Amino acid sequence: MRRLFRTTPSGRIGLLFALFALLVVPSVAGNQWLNIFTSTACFALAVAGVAFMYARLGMVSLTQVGLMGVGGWVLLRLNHGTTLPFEANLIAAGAVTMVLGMILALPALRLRGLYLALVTLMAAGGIEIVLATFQFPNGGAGFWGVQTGSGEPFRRPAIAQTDESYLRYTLFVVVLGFLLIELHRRLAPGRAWALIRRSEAAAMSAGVNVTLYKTWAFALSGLLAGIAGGLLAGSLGLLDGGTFRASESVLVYALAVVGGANFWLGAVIAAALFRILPALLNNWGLDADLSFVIFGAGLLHAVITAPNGIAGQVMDLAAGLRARLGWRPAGPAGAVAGETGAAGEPGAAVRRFDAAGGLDAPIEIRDLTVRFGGVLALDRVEAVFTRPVSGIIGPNGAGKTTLMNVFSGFVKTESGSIRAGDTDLMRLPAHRRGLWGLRRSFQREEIADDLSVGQNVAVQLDGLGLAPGVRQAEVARALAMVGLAAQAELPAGALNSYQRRLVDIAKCVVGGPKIIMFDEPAGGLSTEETRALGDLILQIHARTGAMTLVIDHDVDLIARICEETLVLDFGKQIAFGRTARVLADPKVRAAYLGLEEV
Amino acid sequence: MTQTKTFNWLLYLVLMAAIVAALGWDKPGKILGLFFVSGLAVGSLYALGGIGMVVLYRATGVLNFANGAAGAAGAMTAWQLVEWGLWPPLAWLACIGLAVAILLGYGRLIAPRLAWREPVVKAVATLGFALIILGVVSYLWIDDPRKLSLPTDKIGIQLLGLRVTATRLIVFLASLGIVAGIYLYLTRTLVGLQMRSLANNRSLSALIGIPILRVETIAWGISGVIAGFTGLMFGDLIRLEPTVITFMVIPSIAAAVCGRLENLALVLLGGLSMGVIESLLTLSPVLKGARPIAPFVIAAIVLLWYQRGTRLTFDSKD
Repeated sequence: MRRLFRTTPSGRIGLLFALFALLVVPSVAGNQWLNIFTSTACFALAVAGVAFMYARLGMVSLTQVGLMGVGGWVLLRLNHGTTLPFEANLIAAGAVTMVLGMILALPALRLRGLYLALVTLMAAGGIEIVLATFQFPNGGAGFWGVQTGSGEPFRRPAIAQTDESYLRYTLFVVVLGFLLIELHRRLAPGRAWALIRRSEAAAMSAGVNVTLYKTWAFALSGLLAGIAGGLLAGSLGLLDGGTFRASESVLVYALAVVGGANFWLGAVIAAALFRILPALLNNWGLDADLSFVIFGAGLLHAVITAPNGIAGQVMDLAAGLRARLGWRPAGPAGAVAGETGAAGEPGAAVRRFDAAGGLDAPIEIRDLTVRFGGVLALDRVEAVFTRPVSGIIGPNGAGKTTLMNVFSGFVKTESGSIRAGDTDLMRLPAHRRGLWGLRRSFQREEIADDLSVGQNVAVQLDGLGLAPGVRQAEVARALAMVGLAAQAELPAGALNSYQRRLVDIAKCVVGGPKIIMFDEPAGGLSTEETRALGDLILQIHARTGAMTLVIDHDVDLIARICEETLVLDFGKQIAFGRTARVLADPKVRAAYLGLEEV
Repeated sequence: MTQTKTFNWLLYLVLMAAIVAALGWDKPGKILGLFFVSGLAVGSLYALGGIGMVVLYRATGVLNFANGAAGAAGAMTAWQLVEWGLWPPLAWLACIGLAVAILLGYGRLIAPRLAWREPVVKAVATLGFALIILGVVSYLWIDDPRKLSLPTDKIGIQLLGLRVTATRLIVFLASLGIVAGIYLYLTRTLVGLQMRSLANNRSLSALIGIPILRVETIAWGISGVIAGFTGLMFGDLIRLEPTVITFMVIPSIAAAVCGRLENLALVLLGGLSMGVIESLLTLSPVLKGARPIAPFVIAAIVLLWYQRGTRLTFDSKD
């Protein structure tokens, strides 16, 4: 719990800044500037919603200002039509946009990258047009039977009647919003998002419910947009088609990148560029259109040379300054370590995990057939793995990884089943298999660089509903087993490639695994590293009770660690049995070891 | 495979017929025809924009949000030059020339610095470039109603009893011509072959010695010509306003999406269908307000239709 509330240097400065904005700014700002600051605060919240989607999930959402518009309209409509207090209306506005956000998440379950950005952009266009067409609540024929203009005058919250107090009110809500995002980042959703961003396949096999967490992210982003829009509407008191333009969603996203999507400061900078800069230009007698030029140039600059935006550069500068003054150097670019498992306690190494770990039954593959269009990727594969460590070998394109993907639930089968004990794996959705105890590594290490080593391992346990203490002990145990206890708090991006491989293994052994699959674990490792890796894999069964399947091209490794081996060639099973016997099989030698004479 | 293809075509034809029938049921044929023709013209513009994007995207991997802005800069310049008394054809040429120069400049100076980044980043960078152009253009030509008219507006041609202005005919024929021309260019010339190779696999193409910079420059040039022409026609047929022309990229992208960012014929078909549906929606008193959303809705539906039945688990690089 203490970790949850720990403040980082960047966080402390943020809170100080918020305090300054809350106490000092409203009292000294002139009338014209009060409104500008209020709208800046609102946009900072909206930008934060876009920024965390981009920085944490790598998703580009171009609907934010459209959603703000919806939030604003809903708030004003409720305000005109009901006598509920401002806060209730604001929450209702946020709830409506939250639901819209969930709807927007539907295409995101199917689309990624550019296509997702395009769909959200189209949705933004749609929202703008709908709002402009119906013109509620000011003007038009009214909505929900309430004639606008005839209703009560607009009511601000009771405690914030003046512009000055309304600015304070807005700032307070905005700070709450920022804290909400930070809270998510430090808990299970943050870990899940980071892994989804790295690879959805890896996330699913880690037991992360990708659908849930993607929808959750859109909902949170939508909620923030709605609240921001509602607060802005409360400040203006009057909306028209021009208040929220869909095209501004694109600007808001662009500015989130310019400001630096990873940092709270980035959102503040973005909002300041968006609202304060044009006002300044106006004051100086320049045309506000010029701010577009500045935005555009800033965006190009950020994209080409400053991936962490202006805020990232500020953080780098601050870190450099601190180092020069001889203070304790900050982590890379001011990144903050979130909640992680405690550093290792190697004494507990041999203790078996008690949450139904291990598998006391063979893995039975029956009549497994997979077809990709006209290609038979797996052709009626049959095998029963009974030994703790088994191998799968075959030339490139033999179907080894496809077989693992069938285990993981990424590939549709034409026929066949995989059973382990009384569990039929084929009946479980992909992430459920992860929770059940199916673990795997991928040919590329699937580790989220922006999480710490401990967090990367902890993701694996998030779906299991463990008590925090148990979870931390379990993470520490897994890290101790692979020899990374000392690195638990390091960001995963700081590890070398062998250590990254070890993190993959720690993710596989944590939390009561039943079946562990390694896809070419020795690829790219040196001879000594491969030997150490082999030793580690051999210990897995004794320590966790799990059965291990290993794909590798290193026949020496397979011969050393695997008691049973399955050999595939062009999707066909050409041998299965004791490794020594299989490797001596003339058919295997011809297909795989490259000896032509049969 | 062929079966599903036929089915898709049939589905498309049935849907289009249903929409046309539903919207124009009780309207006289002549009015329906008029709206249909004007829809085809607008749709041709969407399609042209989409084609320019797809050509560039296939060859360079850049989805260019700045196409519309380049067209806007060209169209505003052409208007200014005509105001200053330049012989109009020269002004039109200047429009296309400026758009080509803007996009070539980006393609040579900025795009290479992002060559190995992912598509989203490349697209976001062009967004920044579009903002710069838009800012400069709106600064130079502050919002005033302006009109750009081509002499072809006054030439009417009788087609099946309808009077169609030559401009609309030109736009429609140009979209057909450009699709055919680019198809021939891609299939019959060496540069076309190299472009297809780049579209297929950039790293491999670089390894076998395809002059990437040269091919990309040509692609930027082609998309510049299309952007300039589209901007000019948009300024004449719809509205001469920098912001409006710049954000023409959004329906253009919608059209491009209909062709999965690769199939030019489908882009053309998508653009034309969007234009026609959008125009016919004007006939319906209820749906009139929803008219401008039509491209978005169509593209979103098409996109989801393409994705049906696929499981989104692996990136191409996973």
